[in-house]
Amino acid sequence: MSGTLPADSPETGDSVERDAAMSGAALRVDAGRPAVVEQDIILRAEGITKRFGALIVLRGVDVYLRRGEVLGLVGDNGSGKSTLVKILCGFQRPDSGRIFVDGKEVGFNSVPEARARGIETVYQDLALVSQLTVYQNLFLNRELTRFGRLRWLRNNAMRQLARQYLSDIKVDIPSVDALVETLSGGQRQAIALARATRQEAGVLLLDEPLAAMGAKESALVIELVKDLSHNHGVSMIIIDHNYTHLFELCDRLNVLQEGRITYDQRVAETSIEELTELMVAEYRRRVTVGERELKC
Amino acid sequence: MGKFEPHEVDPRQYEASRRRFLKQAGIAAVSVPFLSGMVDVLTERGASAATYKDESDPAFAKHPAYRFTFVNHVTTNPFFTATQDGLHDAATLLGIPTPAWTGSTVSATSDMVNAIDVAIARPVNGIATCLIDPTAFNGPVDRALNSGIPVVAYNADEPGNNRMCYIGQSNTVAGAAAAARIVKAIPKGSLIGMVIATPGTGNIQPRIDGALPVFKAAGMDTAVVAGGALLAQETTAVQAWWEGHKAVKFLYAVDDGDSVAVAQCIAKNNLKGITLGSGWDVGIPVLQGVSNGQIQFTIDQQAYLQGFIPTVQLFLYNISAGLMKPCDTDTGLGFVTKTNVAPYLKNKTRFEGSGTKETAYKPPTKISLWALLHTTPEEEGLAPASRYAERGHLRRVSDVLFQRAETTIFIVCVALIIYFSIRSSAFFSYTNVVTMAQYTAPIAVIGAGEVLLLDLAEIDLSAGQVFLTAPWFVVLLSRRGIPLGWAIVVSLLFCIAIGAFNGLIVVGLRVPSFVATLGMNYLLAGLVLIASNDITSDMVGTSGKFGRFFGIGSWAEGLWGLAIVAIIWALLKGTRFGLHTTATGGNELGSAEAGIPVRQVKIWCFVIIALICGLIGIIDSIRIGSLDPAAPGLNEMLSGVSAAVIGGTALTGGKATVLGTLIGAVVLGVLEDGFNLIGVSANWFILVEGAVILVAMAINVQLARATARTIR
Repeated sequence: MSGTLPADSPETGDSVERDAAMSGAALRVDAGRPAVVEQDIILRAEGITKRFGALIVLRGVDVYLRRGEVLGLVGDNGSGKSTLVKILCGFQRPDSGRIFVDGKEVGFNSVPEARARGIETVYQDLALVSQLTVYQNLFLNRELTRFGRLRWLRNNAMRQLARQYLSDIKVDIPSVDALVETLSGGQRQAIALARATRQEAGVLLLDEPLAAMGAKESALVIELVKDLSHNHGVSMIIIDHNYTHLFELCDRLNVLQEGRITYDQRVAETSIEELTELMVAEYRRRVTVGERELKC
Repeated sequence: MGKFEPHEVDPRQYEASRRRFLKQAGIAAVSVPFLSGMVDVLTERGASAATYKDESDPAFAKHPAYRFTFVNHVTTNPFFTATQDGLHDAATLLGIPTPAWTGSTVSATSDMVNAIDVAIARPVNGIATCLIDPTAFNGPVDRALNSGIPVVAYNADEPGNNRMCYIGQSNTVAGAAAAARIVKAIPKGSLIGMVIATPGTGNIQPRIDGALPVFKAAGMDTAVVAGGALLAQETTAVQAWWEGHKAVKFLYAVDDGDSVAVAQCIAKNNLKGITLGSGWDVGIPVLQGVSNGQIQFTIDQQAYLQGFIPTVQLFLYNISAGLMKPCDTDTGLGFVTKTNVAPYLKNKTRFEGSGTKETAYKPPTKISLWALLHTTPEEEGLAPASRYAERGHLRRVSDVLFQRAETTIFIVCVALIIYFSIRSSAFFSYTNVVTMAQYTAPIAVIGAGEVLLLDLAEIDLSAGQVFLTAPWFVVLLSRRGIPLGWAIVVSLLFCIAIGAFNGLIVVGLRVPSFVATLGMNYLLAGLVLIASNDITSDMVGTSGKFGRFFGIGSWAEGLWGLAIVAIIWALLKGTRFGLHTTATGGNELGSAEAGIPVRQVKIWCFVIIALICGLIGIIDSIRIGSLDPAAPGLNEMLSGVSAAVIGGTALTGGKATVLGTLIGAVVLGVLEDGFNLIGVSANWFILVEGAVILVAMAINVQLARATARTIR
């Protein structure tokens, strides 16, 4: 339904016109956008701003995520993508702006608080303990135990559940008893994703989930992300530089430029070429502005 | 885990798209009306043979609408899209309803067995199923056969099952067939490199086992190249092996990753036409290798046929009233060569599970003779299995031997015991064994405590001094008239306080544990010197029942030591606390991220080591009977750390073995005792201890590197 955005394709390629229109602010998003049905929205952020000293990173970002949707976040280096994700996952607090989960306003002070609201973040494989086995990692700090205070581990039960869950989401690993350090990068990322989604994560934030991964590895992760989204109803926000991956994974794309969302379009209604042109236009604009400033 | 794991076999699943999900939903929807058609089936079946009359042209003019059921272990897996297309196409050609597609989505045998029983109850005219369990299907298959329903296995087989035939890939046969092609392509006596990711692994090793007899019979020279688990490793491993064996004429890769590595090696070194190569499975990069002529062929296990052929076989069985018996079909011999690779890369085809509509393809103008070769060594009935199939028992024994950190030290231990028992007949005497236990106990307990800290990537240098100081507390307290029992309890409380203090300094003030506990070590040493006025003291409680229980009984110290080590072992191995200790040591940030109270875990570990070292220290001094205020605690501590380290515990955290520490302590105890026994000077003992530590560590590290390379 966000597909009902005005299709202003003539403007897309025309960098000159866009330059004129883009005197710092941007367009598109605000123009005649129909209201999004609120019940569909699992996560919404409004007017998020963030500055670090003199550097204004986010200048009022409005972003929303539908239930079961995969949203791709694109932008140049330094456009504020990572800061936005850090704010959404509770790692940093915004200077102003509001965040809603399931329609209720929330204010996160920490990552665990965000997690309690069902917002999970996957940081590469950093959160895994490579010396532990796959199932131990999946159950880390959520272990099943018996004998009361003795907290004796129910390893077989955990193994079985881990096996079941991994085959549910079609993650192929040698054995749940394999040490994580013996797995490939893609497999590790898959385990990290599996752990994040094992407990009904509503929203998954993925910051460059395919960074430093070969084609074979990426394929593994892409497959898993798709499965989680299609068959398990996990909503996701993905940051990635690789448009091909994003077009394969996402339902909708947002472009973040200079601290604002400047573009919001369903993947089905845009193309890699359109997106590339948008980014190149932005780059050209900056160069022109830079030249103008030099002349002054 | 199911036997079949599609990732290695089929790259097409990577392209799974929404369209495919929709399509599968469609297939499921088609199969629903069959349930309502159950009644018709009931009337038709059984009468089938009788009502069929030979009405000549066309051959099968009139026949009942036979209903078959396919019971699959991963029904929604895209690998089987082609299989479903195959059974659908066969049913359409034969004019019967599309067989039902049921089973489990997650390799749950119970679901599959239920599905078979439902099919028997309907009843259907035939069942095709994947035998993913050695025994679970024997009952249901026999039930079906006893009620006259033919059962065939497809994709996964178990030779012990009474199914009428198997339709799928045999790794051994495919390996032999590949070898037969290879020996035709190169001169006799050439060197062939057999490239395998992990030798010995369930479903890839048979591909080499099948090929080897053929290579040998053709007089070829062979070598196994272990590629390793990751593509990067495989690429370098193949390249490195080629550098050392430039005479190699053929590189035979038996798994997806190594196939790519072989293709890359041939491309990189410009070996086209000089060294040939082959691959396995139909991953896109492998197919491109075939297409570019870097590798000669690769092998496709043809999932489409696994749906088509069972349907045809079951149909023939029914319509011939059982005269035509289903027969084994090896679908795993789909050789992809330069001549037929194009359709794989160019077209989306339902025959490979990636097309939606049927297209008539132009068959190849010439069929290579190679494709028809069918060399069968001893048939093993091997089904296409998971890349990660369970390893055999033989492999498990070697796993235990060479992949466990404790192995080296265990061998050293046994060797030492044998050596000393040969050198001295007194070695196994009762008194000597008791002595060894007494030597070993303190080292083992301090070592077990250090294991907790090393697991955390911390260390407690004060442990030895706590061991020496605790009995001083007992002596000093009883000098003030406190009863012995209470004196021991209070001094153990002191030990707990010392541990907590260590922990708080490390966690709270962020002083590295090496420095913090070194300070504590000297603090306690000084305290003992001041309190004792540097005068040796007799230990208290060295008589009576109490004394016997706490140290002077010949087995007391050994048993106390064993009990404490066993508790630490259980704590580390079996409890949530132990797991959190390892997790904290392995990745502190990640563990904290997961919500583990890493600071508390650390403090508790410092408390535990101080407590157990204090306890064994009191017991040790009750046995000995006197206290020396100038005894150096660092020595005791280092013996414990040595035991832990030579036992296989890493200093870097996350890798800890209490069992190895115990064996390490036994080694140190045996060494000390043995040298005393055969009359070698103590100076030699220290030298040998140093050598043992160096050698054991060197072997441990090298073994760990070697196994890390071979395990996936």
